[in-house]
Amino acid sequence: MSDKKHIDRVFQEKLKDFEISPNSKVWENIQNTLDNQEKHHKKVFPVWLKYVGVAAILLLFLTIGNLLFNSEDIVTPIKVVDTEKGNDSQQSVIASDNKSTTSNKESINLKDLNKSNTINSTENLEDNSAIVKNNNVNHKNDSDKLTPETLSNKNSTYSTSKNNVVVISDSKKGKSEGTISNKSYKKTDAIPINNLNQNKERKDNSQPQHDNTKDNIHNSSTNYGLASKQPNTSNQNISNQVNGNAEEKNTHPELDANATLSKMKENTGLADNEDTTEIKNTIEEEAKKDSTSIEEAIAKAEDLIEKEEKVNRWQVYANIAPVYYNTLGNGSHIHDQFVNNPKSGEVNTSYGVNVGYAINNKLTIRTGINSLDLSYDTDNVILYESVSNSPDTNPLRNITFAPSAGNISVLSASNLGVQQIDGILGDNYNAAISQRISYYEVPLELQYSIVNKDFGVNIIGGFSTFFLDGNEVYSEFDDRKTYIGEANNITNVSFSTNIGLGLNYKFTEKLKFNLEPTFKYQLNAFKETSGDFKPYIIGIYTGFSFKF
Amino acid sequence: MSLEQLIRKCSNNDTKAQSELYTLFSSKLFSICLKYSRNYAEAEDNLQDAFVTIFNKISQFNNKGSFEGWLKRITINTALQCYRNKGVFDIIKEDSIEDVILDVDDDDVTIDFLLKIIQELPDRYRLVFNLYVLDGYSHKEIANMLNITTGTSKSNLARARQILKDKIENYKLSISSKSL
Repeated sequence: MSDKKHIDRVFQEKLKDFEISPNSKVWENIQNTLDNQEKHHKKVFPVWLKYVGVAAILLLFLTIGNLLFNSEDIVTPIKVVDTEKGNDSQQSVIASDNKSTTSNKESINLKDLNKSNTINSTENLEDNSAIVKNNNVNHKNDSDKLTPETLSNKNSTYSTSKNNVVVISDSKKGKSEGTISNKSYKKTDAIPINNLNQNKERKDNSQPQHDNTKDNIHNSSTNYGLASKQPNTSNQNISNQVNGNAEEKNTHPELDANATLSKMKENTGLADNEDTTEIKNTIEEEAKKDSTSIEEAIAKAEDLIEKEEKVNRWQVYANIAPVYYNTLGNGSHIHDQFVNNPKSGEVNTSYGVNVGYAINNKLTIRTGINSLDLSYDTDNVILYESVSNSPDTNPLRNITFAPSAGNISVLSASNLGVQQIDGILGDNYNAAISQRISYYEVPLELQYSIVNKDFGVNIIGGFSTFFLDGNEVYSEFDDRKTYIGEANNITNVSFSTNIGLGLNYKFTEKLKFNLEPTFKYQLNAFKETSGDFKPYIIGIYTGFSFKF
Repeated sequence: MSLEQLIRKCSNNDTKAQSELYTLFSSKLFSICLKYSRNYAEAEDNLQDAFVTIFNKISQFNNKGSFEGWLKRITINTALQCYRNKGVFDIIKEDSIEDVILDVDDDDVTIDFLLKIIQELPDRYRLVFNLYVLDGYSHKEIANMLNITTGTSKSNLARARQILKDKIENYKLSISSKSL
């Protein structure tokens, strides 16, 4: 009896080097499973993966956009301040109009704005010089002069015209008038410009000022003649549209200015009373005009603001595209013998991100980066392991064979006669040489929009720079592929000219869905080709764009 | 071609490289499948599944550790997978096994016979015996792999040993009776 061993050792020793070859059908099954998987992978898996990628990119840019958008929120108040400044400047422009018009309250028929402006401006100059003179001569003149001015101030809610008054009143003794006018200024200034009702208030505000002016006028006793020039000129203007009596009365005291002060007082008093009523009318009319002009100004300002806000010049595109690769000519990029072989392009995918900058409403310039896979099959090829070990015969000029590929020889079945095919025909007839290329594509394109509504149409033109990323040549036979090497004639950096039609649909002002069938004609993708080999790419770029 | 190159090409779905890898390792892995399976056909199925998994995951192999070990783990896992799905691992409260003499005489015992009696073992005994005795996993590892307790693993192993010992002894008896 031999020695007994522990049962574990029995098994361990006996089975240690146990190996047994499986049935060959197992390998066939594995091969089939893998092939099926690959087909499945090809069709489903990358698409799924790429959608996830696109979704991720979209999400990324939404967050970036959101960040920018939020920061824009912080910026907008500053913008508003700017636009208000703009408003101010605009107002000052309008105010200058008003200044001229209102200081010449008289020429209320502003229909010929330009005319009245030019006239008024000259008149203003005169007025001002008169004011300066009068100021030098007599304080009371100031008050006289201030009366029309302050009246005008009542009409014109604008700072500039008022400022004149303030300056005048400050430079002179007329602190009371100054303060009054300042008050009115403050009040009117405090009133939001874009409110019609407040114009009424302004008119109401102007009422007490009338009293002041009346008082001022009444108070003015000496040297009224000098001062009266101004009210007269203004009254003349008023009279153009309103009242002839006032004109007569005003011109009359002017003529007799130096003669009788009392008459003047009466006249001026009368004239003032009438004037003030007239002026009231004119004020009301002007107020209306002002209100309209204010509204216009506001509208303009709002337009400006809107325009400024609408300038979302930057746009981000995320896209994915089925791309079809083929050539226009009949050539071959591999070898002369394949010029006449049937060839087929394959549909692959491209995906990427672009950034667009709107130069104006119509024109957008954009660039970005796309990942692009291409494949192109040369069919009807005979591949066989050559028996003769002659390493110098590289059968394919433009393919550098991998060492693992062994002594593969390649023939074009298209070049063989039928009889030859019968003779040679082995298992490997009708194989294909598949060229796989992957690029990183950097497009630079101009997009011109033809229709820009909810549904938009664009024309896209430009060029792309292609950076070679992957370059593999496989032999394909019965859905089995073997890596045989890489093409040695693909340029590392190549270019294409692009033209496309862009269709888009606006979900919101910011978010668009894009569909862009694009044709890209490659210029120098291959260094040496045989026959007429002009590769092109057709892609239907689909995706979303986000404005910010 | 080095193993590394071969692996890289396989991860590139190169059919030729895959074929080469299969030729290199299929015998070794098939023996594992045979031990873990009930019969030859099941072993073939497991081998096929294992290789499909290997080729799908080969790009994840990071060249750290033994490639063969990696292949074996995948194969064993594949074999275990079908039992995991079938839920053969009932949690059985086994009584503590009394110490028994487990020494046998291995004269005239062939590999084929040993393989046969392994395959004849109930699934849970077979798996635990293979993992512990033939592939060197600890009870703790086995417990994790099969989602059982270490106690179950130990008792399953003891039962397996007992069954195998009985079978070998019976076999030897039958031989000696024949020879008589």
